[in-house]
Amino acid sequence: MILELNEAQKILKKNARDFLEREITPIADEYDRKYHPMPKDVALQLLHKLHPLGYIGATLPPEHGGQGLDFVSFGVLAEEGARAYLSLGMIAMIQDSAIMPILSRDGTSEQQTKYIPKILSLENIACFCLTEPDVGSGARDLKTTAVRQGDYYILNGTKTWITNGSIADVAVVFASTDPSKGARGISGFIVDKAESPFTTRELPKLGCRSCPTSEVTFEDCRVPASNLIGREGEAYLIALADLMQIRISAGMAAVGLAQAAIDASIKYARERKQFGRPIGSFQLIQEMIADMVIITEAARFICFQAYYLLSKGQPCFREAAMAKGFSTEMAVGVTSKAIQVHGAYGISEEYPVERYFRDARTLTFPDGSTEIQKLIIGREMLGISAFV
Amino acid sequence: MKLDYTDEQVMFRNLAREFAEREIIPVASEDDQNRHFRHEIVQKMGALGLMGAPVPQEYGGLGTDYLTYALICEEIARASASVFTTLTVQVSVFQVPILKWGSEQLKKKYLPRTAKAELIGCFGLTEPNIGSDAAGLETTATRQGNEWVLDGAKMWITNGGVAGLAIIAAQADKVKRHRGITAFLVERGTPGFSSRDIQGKLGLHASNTAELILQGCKVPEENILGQVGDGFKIAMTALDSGRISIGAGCVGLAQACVDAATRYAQERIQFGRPIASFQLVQEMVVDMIVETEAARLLVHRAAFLKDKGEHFTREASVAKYFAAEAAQRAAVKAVKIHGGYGYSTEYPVERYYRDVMAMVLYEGTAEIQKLVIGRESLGVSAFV
Repeated sequence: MILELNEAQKILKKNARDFLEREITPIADEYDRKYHPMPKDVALQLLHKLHPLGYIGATLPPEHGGQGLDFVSFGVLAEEGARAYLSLGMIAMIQDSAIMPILSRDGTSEQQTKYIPKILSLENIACFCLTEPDVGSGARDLKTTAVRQGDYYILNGTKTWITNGSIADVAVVFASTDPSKGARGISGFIVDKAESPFTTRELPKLGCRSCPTSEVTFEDCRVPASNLIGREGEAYLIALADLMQIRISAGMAAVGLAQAAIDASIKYARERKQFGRPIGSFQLIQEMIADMVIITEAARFICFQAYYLLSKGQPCFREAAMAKGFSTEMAVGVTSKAIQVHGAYGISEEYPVERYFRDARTLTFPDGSTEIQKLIIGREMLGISAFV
Repeated sequence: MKLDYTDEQVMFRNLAREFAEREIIPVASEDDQNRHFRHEIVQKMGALGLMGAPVPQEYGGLGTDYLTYALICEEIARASASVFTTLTVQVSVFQVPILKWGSEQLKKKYLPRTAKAELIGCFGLTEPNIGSDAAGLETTATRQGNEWVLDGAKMWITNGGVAGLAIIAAQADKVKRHRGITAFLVERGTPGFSSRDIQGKLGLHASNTAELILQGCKVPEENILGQVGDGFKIAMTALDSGRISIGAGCVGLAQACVDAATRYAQERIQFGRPIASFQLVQEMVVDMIVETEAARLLVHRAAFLKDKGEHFTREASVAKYFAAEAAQRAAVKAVKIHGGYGYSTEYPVERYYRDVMAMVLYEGTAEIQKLVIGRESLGVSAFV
């Protein structure tokens, strides 16, 4: 057992952290206040900065032009990105956690040739469209439909809470090609906005404010049949496989946020003096910081455990659910404590911890709520489903 | 990062697991109720090498790494926190300090017998008036020619009543505070050394806890571990190592809670369904599982760092604190899932619930762990 990063992973972490602290951390609070959400040109400008660090195409196999990094390394990037600026990290990570795995695993060679290079070069930004206004955790009941007409599918329906929706050039969309079949009627499509237009509307929100979160509407949207991913009715399992990876990166992002909150709190507790002493010398302040450190380290290992299994190609549905459920709830508690350590300054925009707190709060329900994660773990461990 | 166990680690874990299931689990509840320290179990563990796994082979041990030892601790604790407590004291705070600080002569003389559990050991640090504040020890050591005379009392000493050999921390130079503390090896039978078993504990009924009394107890100079004045350092490094194994024991206890709760929730039918199918019951089981696995990874990380020879004080405290709290929450939930049966001695969970409180307290309370972690993280001490 080796419970530490290897040399390459340590270097990756250091390089990412140094760069992000220099280039991204100083602008994060300003952009977070200014951009609701970040306009596409600003997003692209920042994504181009992240690009050399490996943020796009990190785990994509080299034969597709990616860097072929292992998933633990990707976890390092996810954590550091979130530690600097979660909104930006989310814009970047959705490509690697959700889109690239589908294209490289389930796409036709034609689809791969057409879209992977564009996403890698940032010519295209992508989004993942699963959730609908009436369909959240019960994803098998999708209402968006896709009806075959000659060489096209006609998509109708509305998707919501779509990260990157309003700045996306390409959408991976899940729709029902046969509503009578439930989950087995769900199919996946690559929808290229240039040839198959769709409309979007931004959803203002509490946290992750500069990351676009959109409602995406498909109205008689004509998608070439060649853009079907896999075969008709196969996409539910594709979505589940993808969700597994997205969940781990959400967990890792929560670890990054929590680490940011710890670092800010330690700095503040050492500087802030009351009763003639740094507040860090008071036991009750130390207790908060110790609690934050302990649970963050626990969560980090839980996430690495899932990434490690993913790297080995082993099933990790249970471990991914643990990573997501445990880490995101942990981050809510840790960022809340960070505010308490900062006192009133904690809720002011003078310090970054109010952003961490708002951002953390947005992580406990997407990609499967904490409750869904618990039901997944429970079913796997008890052999009894309590979903319904 | 590599999260697989080596073949050797798996082999010793399985050895400990099979032993625990065959020899300990069948009698664990009975011994708990009868408050019986079962010497045969300790002796059998000694014969298998389980009472001295990380002791090098040249001193009669198995020569395993510390992570393997943590796996053994987990398996034994899963069966009985009492037997585990005997084990962790024998290895972490008794054998480890002798290995690190003892003279070659002391190591040769004592370690092989301790590794086979022919000789049980204990560590006398805590006193009636001295717990977390170990620098203020009141037991004194006074030089008389080539001997030292020990006077004082030690409290809550695990294995104290069954130990043939004790490490005693005593103050040799009061002016120097913690720099005066010295560690001595004292054999049972030395005139002036006696023990009195402590009765009426909440849990760990099948383990031995005693008060040690030292009255003009004469110890030869060569029985000092390290140098005069090294005792505080010895105690602190012993505690660091001990925290890893206590953490491992907590993981074992938490796993026992998970196993019992899982089995019961699957079997118990209410409203025509197994109670495991109810979301509120599943949530309790899941919380237990996730925290147990997180605790295991933190414990193994600390053991991994120790095996690498790196500083692990902070990580040992993180592991001990989180694992003890996780085990405590797991025990509460296990009792709740069992309902009224959880409150009865018919099921083992009430024992887990009582035993876990000791894990939260010994080898540094939860609060002390937080102060260690806070000091290491902030660079500012809040101990006083």
